[in-house]
Amino acid sequence: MTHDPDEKICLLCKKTMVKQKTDFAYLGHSFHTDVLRCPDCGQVYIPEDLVNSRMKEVETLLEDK
Amino acid sequence: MPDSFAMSGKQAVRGCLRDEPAFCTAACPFHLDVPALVTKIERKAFNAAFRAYQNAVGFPGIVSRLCDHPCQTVCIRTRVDQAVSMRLLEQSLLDLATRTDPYAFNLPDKDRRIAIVGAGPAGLACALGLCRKKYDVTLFDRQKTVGGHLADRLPEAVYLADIHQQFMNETYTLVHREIRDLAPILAEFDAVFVATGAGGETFGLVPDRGENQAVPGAAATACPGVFMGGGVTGSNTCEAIADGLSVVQAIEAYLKVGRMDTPARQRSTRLKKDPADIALCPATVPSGGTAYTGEEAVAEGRRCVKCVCDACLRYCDLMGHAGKSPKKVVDDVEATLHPGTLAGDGTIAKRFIASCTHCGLCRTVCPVHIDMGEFLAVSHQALVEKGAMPWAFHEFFLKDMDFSNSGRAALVRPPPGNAESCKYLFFPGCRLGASDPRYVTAAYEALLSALPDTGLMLGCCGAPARWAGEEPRLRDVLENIRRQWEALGRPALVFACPTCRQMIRRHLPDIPGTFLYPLLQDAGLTGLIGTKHPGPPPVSGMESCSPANPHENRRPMPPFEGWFEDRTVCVFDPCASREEPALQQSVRDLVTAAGYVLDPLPMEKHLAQCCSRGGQIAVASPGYAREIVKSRIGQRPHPYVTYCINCRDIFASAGKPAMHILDILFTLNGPDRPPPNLTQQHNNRVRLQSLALETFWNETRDMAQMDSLNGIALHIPEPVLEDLDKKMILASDMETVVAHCETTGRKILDPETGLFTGHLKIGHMTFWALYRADKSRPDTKRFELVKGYGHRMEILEE
Ligand code: SF4
Ligand code: SF4
Ligand code: SF4
Ligand SMILES: [Zn+2]
Repeated sequence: MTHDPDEKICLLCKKTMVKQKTDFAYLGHSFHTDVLRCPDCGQVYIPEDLVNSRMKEVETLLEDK
Repeated sequence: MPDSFAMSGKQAVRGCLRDEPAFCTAACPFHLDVPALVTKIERKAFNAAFRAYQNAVGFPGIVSRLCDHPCQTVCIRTRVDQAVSMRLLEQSLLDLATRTDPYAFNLPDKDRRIAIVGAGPAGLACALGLCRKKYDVTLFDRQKTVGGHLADRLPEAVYLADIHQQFMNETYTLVHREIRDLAPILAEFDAVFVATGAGGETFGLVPDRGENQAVPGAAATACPGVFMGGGVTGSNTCEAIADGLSVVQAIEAYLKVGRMDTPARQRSTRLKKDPADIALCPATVPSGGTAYTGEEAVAEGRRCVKCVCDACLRYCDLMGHAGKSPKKVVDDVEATLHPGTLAGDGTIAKRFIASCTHCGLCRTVCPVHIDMGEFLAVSHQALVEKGAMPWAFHEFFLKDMDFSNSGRAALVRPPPGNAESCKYLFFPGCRLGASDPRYVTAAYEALLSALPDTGLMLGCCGAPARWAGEEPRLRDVLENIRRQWEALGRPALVFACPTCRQMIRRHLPDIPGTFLYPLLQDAGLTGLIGTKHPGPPPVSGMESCSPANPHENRRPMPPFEGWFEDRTVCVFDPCASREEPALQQSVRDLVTAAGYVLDPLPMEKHLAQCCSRGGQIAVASPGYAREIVKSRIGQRPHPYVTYCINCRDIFASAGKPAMHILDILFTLNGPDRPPPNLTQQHNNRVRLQSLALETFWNETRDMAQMDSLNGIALHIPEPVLEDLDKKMILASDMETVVAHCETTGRKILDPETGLFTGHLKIGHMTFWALYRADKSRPDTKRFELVKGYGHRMEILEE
């Protein structure tokens, strides 16, 4: 049996997660990006490399703003 | 805590000497910027140096021969060896420069007419200055030739050559006439400069050198449009030239706005410099006798220390690192506090403000005691109050403070027995027990044996709240300390940590306090013979986290079994001990008594530096914090002994052998002990509480009540824990995340790997755990953490 290596399953709803627009906020600013979410309950999946790259960059940017 | 906004930036740097002229510059009639000139000489930029000299003195040929160099009399080097020989440097420049002709200024002619009465040095200098600005200049003199009394001082060919060269691009009218009455001249000209020479005609006007109260302006007289300077006002030859050059500005101001009050230039300096900081360097002898060669000029130039006030920039890592003078810091901070009032990026100084370690060194080294640290603390608080300081810079430390003061770690007790109050109260501070609970139990045991009337208070002094600029939280902590102190009958606090001492002295000044170490010393209780210290060693399991260090290949041994070949150590004074000379001495005495040899650090005692912990800058400026640590541990090769456990653990985590004084006094740990990780620091505080209760009060804490994890157990392998530590994530945060995922079922499966992922916002941070079920016991609630991470952004999930 093979899986899509990027496949993630929401165990609460037993649903395959799909990319969806998601809102984020930090220090009074908000913005959005596409991340994996459960189509039913909306649970979000964020992998560590996203945290270490784009999210970290935006955080630093806003801190120095 | 100081009232926010109470200190404006201007007030903060009032009296700053940064812009004060060098001693030589202040004494120089021409206000020559000697440091700048000498810097050019050092670069062998002799033409540029000559140009600067020429611009300042007008007639370099004349001035280099006639100046009696008052700069050398006041040169700070006279207090060390000999003055920098500006006389020889200036004379040598005439030969060293290959281009000496003045620039031709291509400006349009101005139609204002100025009369100069007297073509001596002052008159000529004024004429030169005005001609260069293309005014219409007429020189009156009773002699046929120019130069006035220069004829008495130099061969005619010499001074005329200089005058002709400087005027080579200029034209003026020379009228051979003695002026006896100013009225006809005033009718014809827009302004007049009276430069009639020593004993010359004053036309009944009062000469003014700028000090005259009645006529405040530079070279002004009571008659509008008439200025006076040079020998007639008592100046010597070079001063006369300087008068002539400087009056140009006053005349121009008069022509433009009709005012006579251009201020006279500053003739003094408030600059302060300690000659003790200047290394001996004898004067350069010119091989040719009368002038330097290029190399010699460079050598002499190097002797100049370029006097300027830079103590704060030299000593403060932050200002030095950023290359920002106090005034620049103030400008940046004000722009940050009031964005939009100045052009440019409004909040440039946010991270800078959050990077001050509040070590107090700037105030100590500043000759006028300007306290940038205090200014930054007040600004920090103001930013917090405006909600403009990123919470992430301080949240970890504030949570840690709350933990220290929570029921899980804090403890306040009168001495064991039936007492309800006490005379002394041991306040070890939150970090000491977090590093090794035995520091606290051993010290308390020793204290009890000497001073049985000593209670114990475990908790945090509130320094993290102060550093975070969180005034209300600081108030809470302090109020709590005060309440408990009062309940115990107002005992004297016994401090182990200089920062706690500083905090209490500053914020709760009526609470008396003393330090643990001199007390132990006086009571002869240093346990140097070894004590039966209570309790087992601290939570271990850190061996694999031990950073590389020079002693790695040696077997760790107790400190008294030949750990150091020559038994040499350096006492590292924590920055908060700066104003505690008695404490500093007592620690040195104790270390010496233990048989160690002291090698003083370059920055010790009142110059004590921060280890990088102060201000909890590690999140705001991690790279800068690491740089500080590197510079501290590199000062001497020997192990350090300190009496702040933060210093000890921070140095140890950078691989520097370091001991706390209590390691020596109670034979606890060697200098190689790996620092506890963040999770161990938590656990050690919990352990300390139960250990203290057990050891001194015979009580046991019910640990079960603390467990809120619904029976979920999370195993965190050593390398994963190490990684969490680097990210400043606690094991307990990961446990909370996993327990949340497991109880709510909100988790994600990666079908490829079979791993679970889930997240939870704790405080402001969002933490993620990647974990797996324990395969060996699939039916239990046991899990293993694979990885943890966190971010500051909030996910708006709804
Ligand atoms: S050391 Fe240099 S800057 Fe200082 S007074 Fe002497 S010449 Fe001037
Ligand atoms: S040490 Fe710094 S703050 Fe103090 S007077 Fe000098 S330049 Fe100004
Ligand atoms: S308190 Fe220390 S770190 Fe802060 S500005 Fe002063 S010297 Fe620099
Ligand atoms: Zn779902």
